[in-house]
Amino acid sequence: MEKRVFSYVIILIVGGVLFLLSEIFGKLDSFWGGLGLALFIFAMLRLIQIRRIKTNEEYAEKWSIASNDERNIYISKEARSKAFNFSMMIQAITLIIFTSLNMTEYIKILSYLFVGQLCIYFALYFVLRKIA
Amino acid sequence: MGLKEPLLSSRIHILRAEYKLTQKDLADKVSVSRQTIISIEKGNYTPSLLLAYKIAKTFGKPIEEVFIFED
Repeated sequence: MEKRVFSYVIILIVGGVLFLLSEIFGKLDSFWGGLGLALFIFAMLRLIQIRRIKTNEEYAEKWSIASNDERNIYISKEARSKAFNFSMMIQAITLIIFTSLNMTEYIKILSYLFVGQLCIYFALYFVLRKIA
Repeated sequence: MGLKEPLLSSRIHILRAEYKLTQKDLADKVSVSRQTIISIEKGNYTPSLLLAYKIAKTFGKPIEEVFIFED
């Protein structure tokens, strides 16, 4: 838990600094400001949640059950695997559309992404097959 | 383990009534959410072997008396 608090504090500081540099001092463009604010809010919410877990026993128990519940874990894994399937399909369709429109630069980037993801998938598949 | 696999039906609701346990009581005893117990009872979710064992142990019965495998 302490490691998590430390990492969220780092994210909070990085987010805050990005936001200040962009929105207050104008040193960075608005993209970094937006990203900084998002990181700041994310880390802040996580830290509030950790504090609640530490101080509220009832909430801590609820949180522990919800995060260790096997059905929740199953649903989360299933959603991630389906999201991967759909994103691969969307990328493949986009690749075909870009090819028909002769957009070579986009085709190159998307192809690398597509093949890279497939390589990661197969590497993980073979590693997990050995472990399981 | 998974959703919508109608291979395993359970007698959890009957046993719960017998032992006067609510879904929440059982969920707390086996450290899962109430929703998981509801899904198992409805047959929407097939529990892992470990959870099935924990549930059976809670009722003091062997697994095959709590979960019925349907061919």
